[in-house]
Amino acid sequence: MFAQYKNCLYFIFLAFAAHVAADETDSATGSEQVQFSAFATLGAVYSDSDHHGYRKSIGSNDAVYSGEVDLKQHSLLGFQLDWSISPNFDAVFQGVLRGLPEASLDKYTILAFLRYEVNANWTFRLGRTAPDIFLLTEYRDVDFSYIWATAPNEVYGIIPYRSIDGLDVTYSRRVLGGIFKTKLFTGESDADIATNTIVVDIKIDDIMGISLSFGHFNWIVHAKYSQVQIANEPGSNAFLAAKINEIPDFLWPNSQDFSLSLLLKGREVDYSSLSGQYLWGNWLASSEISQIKSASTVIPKITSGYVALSYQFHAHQFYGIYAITDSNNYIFNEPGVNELALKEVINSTSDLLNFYATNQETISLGWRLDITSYMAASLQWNYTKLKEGGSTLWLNKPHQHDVAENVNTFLLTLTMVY
Amino acid sequence: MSKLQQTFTMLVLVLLSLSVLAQEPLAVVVNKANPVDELSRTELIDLFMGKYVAFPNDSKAIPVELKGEHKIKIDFYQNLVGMPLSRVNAYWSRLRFTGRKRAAVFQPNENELIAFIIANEQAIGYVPQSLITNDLKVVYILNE
Repeated sequence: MFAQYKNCLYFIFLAFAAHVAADETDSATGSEQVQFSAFATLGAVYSDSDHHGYRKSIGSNDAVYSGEVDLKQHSLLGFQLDWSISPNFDAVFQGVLRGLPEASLDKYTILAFLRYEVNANWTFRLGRTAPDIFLLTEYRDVDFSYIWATAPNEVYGIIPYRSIDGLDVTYSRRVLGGIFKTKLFTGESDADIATNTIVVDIKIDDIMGISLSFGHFNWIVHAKYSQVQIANEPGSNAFLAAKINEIPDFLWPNSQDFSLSLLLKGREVDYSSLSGQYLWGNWLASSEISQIKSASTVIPKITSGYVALSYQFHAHQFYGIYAITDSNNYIFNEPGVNELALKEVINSTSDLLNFYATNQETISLGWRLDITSYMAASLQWNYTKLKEGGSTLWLNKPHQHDVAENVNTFLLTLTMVY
Repeated sequence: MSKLQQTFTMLVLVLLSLSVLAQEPLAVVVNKANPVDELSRTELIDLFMGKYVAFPNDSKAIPVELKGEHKIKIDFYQNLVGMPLSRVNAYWSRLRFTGRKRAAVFQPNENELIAFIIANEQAIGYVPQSLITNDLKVVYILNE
């Protein structure tokens, strides 16, 4: 239902942005009514694999192979307009320019919402907001905001969504000396998922999510749960399902039933995450465990997580991260199928049913230097152990998906906010 | 006095004045009509770190910030949360660019900040103790 209104909403925001060439001042309060802010990352990546191309997320159809230095994966430019309409009502627009397989104004628009703050406890937002699925999904592109050069791919690489069109309501209050927050959200979204050869647009709707947090200044715990429904059928799934559907029973008994299990439209996917952070002195520890579950055999249960520790010494922060993701691989074992005659179809089926299988672990060591209060540089080394049949997060050269490999990746980023 | 000596003297004076300013307690102030008389350190942290932007009576607050890398601002956050401004900015960029929190109100200097608080009953800000006037109510003293 939000799709029909979103283009109209963007137009209003853009028309407004064009109108506001300079900051206006609210004569009643003396404060700026419109504020412009921006964030940017210039990121260079080097990776040493010939087979598995490093990419920031499965949404990227471009990757970094051995011998290349890439500037596109992590570089981006974001800008934001905050329009304070009244003490209780404001509007926010944010655009992020970055490398996309299929660029459009819609995909560059990350935030475009109207907010109504009823009081200190209740806030409503309507429009395009950032997805609060896992701990960092709302701000993983704002690289200045966290210590690491990038959010751990094991948890975040599999999530291509950057925004949700819908509605959310947040309730906050002081409890037991800390702050308790809960957010309920609903809406729809879409994102690209890329392989070496195709880019698939996946739409999700009927998103229902809840995000809970409780903490004091130096510690916080979060629990998040979202349920979504896949709203379209990826062409590759429909093609293979149709092909299997045509196979006669003497070659593949009950092929019709099996072909239906390959279809994604209407299937439910659940995302859950539990995370925490603890700050003591110059040390910061954080951890998250997440899980993706689906009613579909195409999307296996994916369990991921990380633990991270950092130490601050003046303008320097040194950190280490251990991240892991694990899921079951599909091995073709359908009863009564003539595997000799259907070798090609079986290979395609195995590829499709292992497409979302992620099995890898990474140890990262890094150093962040705060150059100024608004600019930082980070250098990070990732040592990734890719397990057999688990390299979904990487862009694989044909027929290299199942190969186990240890990969070194170096990231150098310069991040800033304005 | 040579030009070099003049420059050196000026530099020493500036550094001394900054040093005096750094040692001066910072007062957290609100509008005189605000019914709140005092805040705890935890409430102050919640307010200025965007965790719960309200006074103890649950009425909404408007924290007022100084623009840029102002010395008073650096001292305030170092005293309040023990963090350099870069980490405070990193923390706030998370709140701001996710659209979780409304953008703070920024003022270019202490005088404008004080004028804003005097004009807004919900406003709260921090100033050196020497700048407190009868139009402001002190709710917390930092670095005392």
